[in-house]
Amino acid sequence: MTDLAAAGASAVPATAATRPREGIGLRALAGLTAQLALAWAVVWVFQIEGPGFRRLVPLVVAGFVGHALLPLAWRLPAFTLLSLAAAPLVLEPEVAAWVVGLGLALVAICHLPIAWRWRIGLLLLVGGGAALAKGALLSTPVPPGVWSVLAGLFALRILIYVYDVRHATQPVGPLKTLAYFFMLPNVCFLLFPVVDFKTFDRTHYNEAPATIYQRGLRWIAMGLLQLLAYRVVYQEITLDVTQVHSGGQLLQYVFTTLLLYTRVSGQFHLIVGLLLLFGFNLPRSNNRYLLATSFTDLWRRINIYWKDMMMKLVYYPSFFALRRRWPQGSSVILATGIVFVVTWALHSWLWFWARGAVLLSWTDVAFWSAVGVLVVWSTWRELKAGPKRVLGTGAPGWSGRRGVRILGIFTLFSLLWSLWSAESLGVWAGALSTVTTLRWTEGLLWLGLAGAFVLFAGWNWDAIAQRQEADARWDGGLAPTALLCGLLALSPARAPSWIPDPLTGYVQALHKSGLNKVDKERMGRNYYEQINESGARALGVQESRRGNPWLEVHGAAHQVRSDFLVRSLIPGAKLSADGMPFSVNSQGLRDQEYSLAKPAGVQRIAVVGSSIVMGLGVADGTTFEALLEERLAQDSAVPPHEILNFGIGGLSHVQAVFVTEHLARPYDPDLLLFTIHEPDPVFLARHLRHVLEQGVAIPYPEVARIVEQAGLHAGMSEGEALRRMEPLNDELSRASFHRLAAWGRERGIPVLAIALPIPLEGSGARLATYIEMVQEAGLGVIDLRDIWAGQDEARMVIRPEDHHPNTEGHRILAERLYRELRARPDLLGIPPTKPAISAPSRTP
Amino acid sequence: MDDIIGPVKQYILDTFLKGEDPSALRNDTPLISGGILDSLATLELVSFLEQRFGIQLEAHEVDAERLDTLTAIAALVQGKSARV
Repeated sequence: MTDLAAAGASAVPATAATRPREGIGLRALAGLTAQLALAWAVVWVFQIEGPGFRRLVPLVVAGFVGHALLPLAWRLPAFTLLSLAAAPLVLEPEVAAWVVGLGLALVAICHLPIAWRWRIGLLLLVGGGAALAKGALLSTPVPPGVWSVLAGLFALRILIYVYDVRHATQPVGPLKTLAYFFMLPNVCFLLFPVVDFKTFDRTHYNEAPATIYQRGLRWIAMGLLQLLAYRVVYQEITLDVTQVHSGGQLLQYVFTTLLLYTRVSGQFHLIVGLLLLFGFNLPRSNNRYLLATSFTDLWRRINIYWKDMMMKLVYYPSFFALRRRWPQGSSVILATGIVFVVTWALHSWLWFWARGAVLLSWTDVAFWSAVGVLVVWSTWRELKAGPKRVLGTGAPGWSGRRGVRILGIFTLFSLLWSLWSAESLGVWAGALSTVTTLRWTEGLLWLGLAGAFVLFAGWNWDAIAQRQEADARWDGGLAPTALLCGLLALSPARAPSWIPDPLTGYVQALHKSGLNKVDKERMGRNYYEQINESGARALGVQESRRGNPWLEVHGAAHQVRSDFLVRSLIPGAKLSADGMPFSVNSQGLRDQEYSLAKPAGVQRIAVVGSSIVMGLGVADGTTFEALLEERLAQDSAVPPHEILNFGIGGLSHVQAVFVTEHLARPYDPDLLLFTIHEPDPVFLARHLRHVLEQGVAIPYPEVARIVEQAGLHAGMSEGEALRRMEPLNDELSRASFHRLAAWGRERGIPVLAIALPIPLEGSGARLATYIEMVQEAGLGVIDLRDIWAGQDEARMVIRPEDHHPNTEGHRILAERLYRELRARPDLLGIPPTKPAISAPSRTP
Repeated sequence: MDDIIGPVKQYILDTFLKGEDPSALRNDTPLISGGILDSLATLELVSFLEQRFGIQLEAHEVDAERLDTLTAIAALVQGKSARV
């Protein structure tokens, strides 16, 4: 290809003389709308992104058709109106009103007729106030959800806008400003590409509309493909760092964690594609970033809009300031270093607005420092030698050297990304130490994969793609139509019969929009337990704690103990959340007062478990334990019962043994019920870590042995403890169940496990293993794994991000437990029913 | 305009596009958005323009709007020269 006028034409400014044809034929519009409808079907069938986005899609489809038919002069106002209309469609009306109102105020400050330094000062003042409000340090009437959305629209774009308006040679129209800040899909994507204002303005209909629209649809299709590929990687392929116990798993963790970025890339393709449908002919946001040939090349390919913002706001201004004192080469190197320091700071800034906490972690510092050094080094090499530049993208041929080079960059960047994703440097280093256990079969497998990667990466994909795009068949709607139809062919929730068996799991993963198995457990870890855990940042628990008073209650209700239990409820504590009282009796139970001595003629049931038993999220007297007690009391066939609640937040199976032996035993129970629950590995790791930190004696030899075997020690991070305990968790649970069985046998007390899943789609998988262990120990099981079947799980939990059962959930639990116990009358001390004696028949 | 475009084109061909066909570099060939000028090359071009034409560029003037094509570069240089 020698004529490059077409290459990158999207960025060529249009003038009145060069502005292409403004309209679009009805036939072309029908074809484009059909493709958009296919994309809508994919979004609908696979439940792509959140419900807000899915509500927005019909507006986009209808808006696109109406917008495309309007005269050019009306399209920008129409897009602006459509964007503003999207806010109340996606957000709560009150939040939408605040977002629009505060946003307009920020724009107004940018245009005040005062000196720029005063305008910037005012913006800083308002931003500072908003940050204090977001951090709950300043009380305002603004609903809490407003700040995250407002920051998603303004936190970065206002920097670009101020810079561009300040240096603009022509006045900026209000419509373009409103369209820029409130652009259509932003309200449902708070992680949004940093669109440049000048580019947004300059590229509006700078090519024929049909060309722009078709490019947009191609990117939408590519975005959807990436979002679905992400699900397969996330659900089926990648590992969490805590799951790394061998060299093979280490390689799987390192090389698949970076692939999770396909979600961001997919979202950005989708977002930019949508903007193209309204004439904003923006450039690509990510461009084959896995095929970078150097770190500078990677920086230019991954999150291109961010790179462009850094160039504009930091790199060039720094360079121009530095070159007054330093030589050109040194100024370039220093400016590059400054870019990475600012990039790190801005990531922390964005984290604060999204999560409500400042992001300060060594993994973050290490990642950005390493990437910064590598890009500076790569820049220095380019300064010395200069990369080979060509007109166009070169020949599409294959080169082994290119393939190997790309593999090297991919490997190094994957390693750094795995560091960034790890909970702490210690956890990451611990995972890396498993490399020595790499088996030769695993090594051969990964060597084969590396070879296949080199074979693939050796081709010049930039040149191949450019040729394809120049081809009318590819440039038209054929490719996106084929891609979208292909995705729809995989749409049945069960894998179609023509899919080979080994691949069915991957196809099913396309439909899994929730958390994967590990993150479900991590969610348990985050909302069940303490606030200051280092792993909390991964799921933003800080923010949920601020907005979730039950987690404050959870923290305030517990005290530290000096024995193996480590924590228990504070006797006499009186707290409340959401207007519901949370009281602890004088003996430290979330329950009414009971005498230690069992009243004559009364049978006692002790219920031991974690925060669900304790009733986090429900008022006094409405825990399933209390409701069950009430229910039994109403049943005249059941002898008098007292049910005692020994629930403690985050109680592991091992601790359940201790609670039974030391807290429940003095109450002389006639029946012991204890819950088995999925997040036990997290509870256990946290508990053992606290035991070691406090130097508490371990009363159970098997626990002491396993602690030693796992190499746990005081000061170890929770993530590292979790990783080391992973292969040993089941052994400890099994031992705990045997101890409980022995305890029951010695006292002639029946002991039953309650298999209790949380109301969350897909939860309960680990319970099957625990049930087997419990049965192996000779204990009975009350299996509640199906308890949430047929229920709307979202209506059973206390908050969307907190899956503790609410009052209705506890009512369902109590009712079910009542029926389960009534079906086993011996457990309730109900005398066996005597067989009915029929009256002797009289013979006539 | 040609007295600006000529030397700039020659500089780009000599510095960044050695061995490429000069006729393939047209006045409207996208330089930045087409990937020919990355950030380093753009700064080198800025230094060349400042030295060759005796102008001084500001940081905010280094963008695709002003430097993406030979025509745009010539317009920028012409505008700056007129103000010198």
